[in-house]
Amino acid sequence: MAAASTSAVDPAKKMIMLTTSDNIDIKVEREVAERSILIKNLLEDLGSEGDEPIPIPNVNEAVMKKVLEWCEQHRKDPPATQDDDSDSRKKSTDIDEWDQKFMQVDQEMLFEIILAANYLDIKALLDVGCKTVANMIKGKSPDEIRKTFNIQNDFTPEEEDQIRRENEWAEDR
Amino acid sequence: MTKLIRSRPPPSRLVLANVVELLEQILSYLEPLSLLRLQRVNKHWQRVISSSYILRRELFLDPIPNKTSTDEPSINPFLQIAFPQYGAIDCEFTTVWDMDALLIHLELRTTPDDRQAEAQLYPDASWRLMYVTQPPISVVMVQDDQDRWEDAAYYFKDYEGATLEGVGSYFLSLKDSSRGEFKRPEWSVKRMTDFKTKLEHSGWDSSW
Repeated sequence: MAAASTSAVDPAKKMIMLTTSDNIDIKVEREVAERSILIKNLLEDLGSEGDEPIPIPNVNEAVMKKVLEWCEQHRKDPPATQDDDSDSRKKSTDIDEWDQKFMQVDQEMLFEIILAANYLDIKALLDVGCKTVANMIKGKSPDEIRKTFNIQNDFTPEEEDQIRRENEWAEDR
Repeated sequence: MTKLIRSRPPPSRLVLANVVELLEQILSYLEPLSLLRLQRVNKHWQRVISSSYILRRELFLDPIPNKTSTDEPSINPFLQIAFPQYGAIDCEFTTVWDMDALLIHLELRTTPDDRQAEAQLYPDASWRLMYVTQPPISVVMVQDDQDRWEDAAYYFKDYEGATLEGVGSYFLSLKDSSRGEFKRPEWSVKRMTDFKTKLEHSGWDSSW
């Protein structure tokens, strides 16, 4: 059996293989990949040595490499606690310096990272992505937001005017 | 047949238009007041903002559950924004007939300009639906700058809590009084007797 050869390796440092949606195999340390709860659970369910490549059908190579770059940087972060959902994190759109630099990507990649973090269940990365988009929305008018994100206005002028009037009391204060 | 080939929508559309939870999380980082304006982006944003209980709680539109601690409820910050003519809106919590109550002291400072007044008075204005406090409180009393205690108003709404509709209408009636045409709208003010009657009708034990 291979037990003797694997036991010498720290299980966290053991390499595993991920297969992306465009059929590329990426080798990564298990500890890094396990920032993803989805991958962590898959590895536990498989219960194997992790020699089989794990298919990640929703994420392509470019996005996966970017996500793994984040996981590598944050490999030692303590796991998220339930309290993070409560008032303590509320309204803070502060993002630490490394993450800010990491998120300086084109808009398409930014949203790809959010989708991948959501799919792979990497809560801290999803939070950073959503905060980045929230910061892009801050201070913009509805029209500027539509332009920024290429969103179609599907209201009739009357419908939009109705919503505007309902909330006009809160404008410019 | 080319239409049958499934092309993936752009990632921005998936995040901002397809997955409700993602837009909800993004919007949860924004100031609640700006959410009112962001309802105008498109129908999807309007639906998410007006139906998300997380966002509705922040806007004082859905009640948050009673806190287990003895913390005082938080007072709706939009009260001051909706009524800028009142320079100081001081609030204190008190007890009326063993019920928690909010006492609001008012001091008229300015007269709103025409545009402000029109926006404020609009019958479908969104401030009307907001709770006065979170968690909502049933009894709210207003004391104006002339200390008219006997005119203190009592508001409640189905015991779920007082909304700004009643309090705001009272505020607006005070504005009229400063112009010398004081007329309190009957429908908006639950006077003490009215309040007592409603309590009795609802089977509340009123041994007072």
